[in-house]
Amino acid sequence: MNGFEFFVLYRLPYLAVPFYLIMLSVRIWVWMRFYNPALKLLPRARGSVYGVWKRQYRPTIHIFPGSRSQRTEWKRAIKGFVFFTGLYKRDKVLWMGSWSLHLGLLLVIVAHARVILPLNLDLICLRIALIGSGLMTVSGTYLLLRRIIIQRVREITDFRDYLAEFILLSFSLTAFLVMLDGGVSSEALRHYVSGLLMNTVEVIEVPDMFVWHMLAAQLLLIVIPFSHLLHLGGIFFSREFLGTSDTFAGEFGSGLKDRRN
Amino acid sequence: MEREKKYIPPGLAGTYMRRIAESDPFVREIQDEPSALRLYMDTCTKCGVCAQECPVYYGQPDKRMHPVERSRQVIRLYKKYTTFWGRFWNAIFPKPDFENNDAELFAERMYECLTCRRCAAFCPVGIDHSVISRVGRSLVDLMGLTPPSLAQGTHNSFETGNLEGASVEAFLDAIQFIEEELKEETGRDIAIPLDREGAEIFFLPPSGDVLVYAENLMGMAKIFHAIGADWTMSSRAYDGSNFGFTTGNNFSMKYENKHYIDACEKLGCKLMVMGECGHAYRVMKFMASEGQWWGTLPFEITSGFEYTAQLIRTGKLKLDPGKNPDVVTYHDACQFAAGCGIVEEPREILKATCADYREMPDGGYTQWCCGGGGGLSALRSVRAFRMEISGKKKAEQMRETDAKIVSTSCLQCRTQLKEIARHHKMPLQITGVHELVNNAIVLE
Repeated sequence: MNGFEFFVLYRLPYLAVPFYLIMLSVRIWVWMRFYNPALKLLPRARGSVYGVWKRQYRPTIHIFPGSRSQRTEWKRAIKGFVFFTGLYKRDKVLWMGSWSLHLGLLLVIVAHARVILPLNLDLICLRIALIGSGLMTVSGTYLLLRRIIIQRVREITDFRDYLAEFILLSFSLTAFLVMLDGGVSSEALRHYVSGLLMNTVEVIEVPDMFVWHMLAAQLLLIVIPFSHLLHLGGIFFSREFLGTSDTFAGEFGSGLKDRRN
Repeated sequence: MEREKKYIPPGLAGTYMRRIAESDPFVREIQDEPSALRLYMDTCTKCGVCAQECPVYYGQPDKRMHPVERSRQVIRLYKKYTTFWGRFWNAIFPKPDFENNDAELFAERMYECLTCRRCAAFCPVGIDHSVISRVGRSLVDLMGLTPPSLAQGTHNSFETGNLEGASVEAFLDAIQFIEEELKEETGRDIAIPLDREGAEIFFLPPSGDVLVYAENLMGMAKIFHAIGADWTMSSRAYDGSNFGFTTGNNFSMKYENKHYIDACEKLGCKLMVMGECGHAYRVMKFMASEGQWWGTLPFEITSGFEYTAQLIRTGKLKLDPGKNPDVVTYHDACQFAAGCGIVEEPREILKATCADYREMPDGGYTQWCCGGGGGLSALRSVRAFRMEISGKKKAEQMRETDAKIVSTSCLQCRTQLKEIARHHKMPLQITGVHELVNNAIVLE
């Protein structure tokens, strides 16, 4: 193990992970400091947090159509969140790129769960990770090309946006190459993680590309709080401001449509 | 000018916020705005969907007209003055507040947003650029760069209670004239009661419906007469419109709103029926009333559309669609449709009053703005922009319908659509919704 590999595998995580957690917490705190609709989910919230929330300015920027009932609201919110239906109904190509990227990310996260599970799921998890990282690479490439080619996207894109997408693409591509190279066994991963937790260096058998994958993953953690990739959390807050999930689900006044001539 | 107090947390963060808030009213103006701004600047994915749906970008697809680019002008100010890193970098590499150090260009750009909220409806993460544009407009207002006709309108509202600056005598003359017209047309004494204490209904049209497009008011007067309603208007507060909403000046917005709330309370009315002005109705119903700006109001609020549609549903009005034989289409005003959810009611009214009603393409909640939204239709200075850029899509849609009459629910849209029809040489008649009721209602 050379110095670069040692730094990426055994030193950088101590910087990248806390940095990510702290910066993300700061962001969430800033959003909550103003107006925090999520607190509505805590019906019995009392005390200082609730007191702060109660005294805040409530934005009155609801947009219509609004769902008729709480049940419909939840149904449409879940539909919009899981299937990106609002985007599907407007731009199918963008939907394909965007949804498959997020699906790929989900598969990659699921595949990583084998580290904490006391089962030997290597075979299936490696396949899931291969599909997930492949999906992310293809759709990430499309999204990057879209950013470069389409005028209305290119003209609002700056260096930081390209950098974030480049790192995301590097992350998925290196993951894909690691999988093609046979992947990393659960045992090796557990040794690596426990080494990190105990601050001891464990020698593990991994493909060379794994180091680059870890570098990309950690750069991604550092970049997320400062880039457009942060929409991951904010989307729920911004939907709450609008006071409807109908637009999220692409349900633009479906009742009206039936009554038209 | 007293401003709304914003909650400032205790401790170190509060000290920091208080220091920058008190040092400069310009900074305070940004800080006092809805927190949506901060959230939006963190979550925008820059996917470009908003531009795809923006009527202004449709009219001129270049960077200047891009909603995200416009919002960036405001966000850079927010970052520069209120975030730690913004202040840090500005201390090392100071930058001017505005591009090319040109505040007037900034003002121009803020008034290139129609605040129609179509971007919010389609944005995958739900970003409403109209909120950010309004923050920008509040800064423009603070610098004294609000377009003169809008500034004059808000000034008039302070002085006289109506945007036109008309005197009480002028209003009384107009009412007398309308009553004479009603008498001549119907042969009946249809009174427009003024300042009647204890009346059930307080009717509040925009002043344009009294002084310019009287047919809408005549339509409502006939409806009230037909059902024998106990109603009144106020000679002091007869302008149900709101320019403060469009200029970004919260004080003006609230003052204009309070003006007619006071009148309704003083007269002791139980129901406020508002006329065809989307901005005023949205501010009244969804901001002042729901946001409890002035506490719990002792009266109900409804729009003329909801009121009339309900009467039609219950069979209380007799209408003859044959009186409006031409093909009629309807343009949804953004503030009424996406802003207040009033989409079905005007259609119910039009279908009951017109022989041949047809939908305009993309009608409903996701309508395309007329191109004069956000107060732009009141600006002569941007007429070329309204006709060729922001109104381009609407002109195309109006051509597609084959209609002879385009009816709309808002005074501002009506002005803009009239100009579009004239500019693009389309032989169309532009009307209000209650103007068609005025034609079709049968008085027994």
